[in-house]
Amino acid sequence: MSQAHIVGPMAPAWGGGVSPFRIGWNKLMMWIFIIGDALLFAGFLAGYGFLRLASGSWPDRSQVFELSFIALMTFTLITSSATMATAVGASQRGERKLVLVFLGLTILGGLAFLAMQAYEWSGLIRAGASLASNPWGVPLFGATFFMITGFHGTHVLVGVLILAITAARFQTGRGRPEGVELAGLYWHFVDLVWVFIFTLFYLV
Amino acid sequence: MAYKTYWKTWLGLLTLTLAMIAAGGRTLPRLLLLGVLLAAMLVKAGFIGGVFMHLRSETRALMLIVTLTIIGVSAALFFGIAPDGMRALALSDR
Repeated sequence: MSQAHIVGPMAPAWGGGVSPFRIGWNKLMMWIFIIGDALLFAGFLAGYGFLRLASGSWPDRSQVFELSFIALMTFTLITSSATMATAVGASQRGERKLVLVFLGLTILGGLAFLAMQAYEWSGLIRAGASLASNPWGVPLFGATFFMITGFHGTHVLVGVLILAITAARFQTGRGRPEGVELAGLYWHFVDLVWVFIFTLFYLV
Repeated sequence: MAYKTYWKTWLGLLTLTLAMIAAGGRTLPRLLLLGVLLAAMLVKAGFIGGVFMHLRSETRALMLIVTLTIIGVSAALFFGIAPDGMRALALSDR
C-alpha cells in the first residue's frame, strides 16, 4: 500500500517504506519467533499446572531433585546469558577477539548445561522414572517433567549449534554484529524460559 | 549498553536465584511462598528481557507488543486452564 492511501497521525509510521519498530526485518522476525515460542512454552506450563492441580498430590521435590545441583545448572545458564550479552556488546563495538572469546564461553556454558541435564535425567531414569511411570507415585509427573525439560534442552542444543555457526562465521570474517545479536536474542530467550521451569518445577 | 551493566544484571539474577532457593527451603505458608517465588520469577524475567535482550532500549511499540502478548496470553492460559485442574480434582473425588 502506498503512503498516499493512508491518512491520519499513523501515516508516517505505517505508510510503508519505513520501519515502525526501527529494527531490521530479520530482528523483527526473531522477535515474532520468540513470541510464538514463548506462547508454546506457556501452553505447556499451563497444561502442567492443570495436571498438577488435578492430580491432588505431587511428588515431594526434595525427594526427587538435588536442589544444589539444579542451582548449579541455573548458575551455568545465567552466566552463559551474561557472556552472551557481553559478546553482543563487543560485536557492536567491533571488538572481534572479544566476540569470539565470549561466544566460546557461552557455547561452553550451553554444553555444560546439557551435560548436567543429561546427568540429571540419567539419575531419574535409573531411579525408575519414565514418561509413563515413576517411583514417586504420580504417573503424570514423569510425562510433564521429561516433556518440558526435554523441549527446553532441545532449545539449548539448537542454541549451541547456532552459536557455533555464528562464531565460525565471525572467525572467517563473514559474521556481522546483527548475526551475533540475533543469536543472542535466542540464547537469552532460552535462559528466560529456564527461569520459569526452574521456579515452577523445582521450587513450587 | 556498558559491559558492567550486563554483569551487574548477572549478579542481580544470581542473588534473586539464591533468595528463591532459600525461600523454598523455609517453612513459609504455601500462598506466601508461592507469591514470593512468582514475584521473584517475574523480576528475573524482566531483567533478562529488559537488559540482556535490550527490550528497554527498543521502541515502545515493540516493547508493548512483545510483553503484552506474552504476559496477556500466558495469564489467560494459566488463569483459564490451570484452575480447571481443581474442578477436575473435585469431580474425581465425588
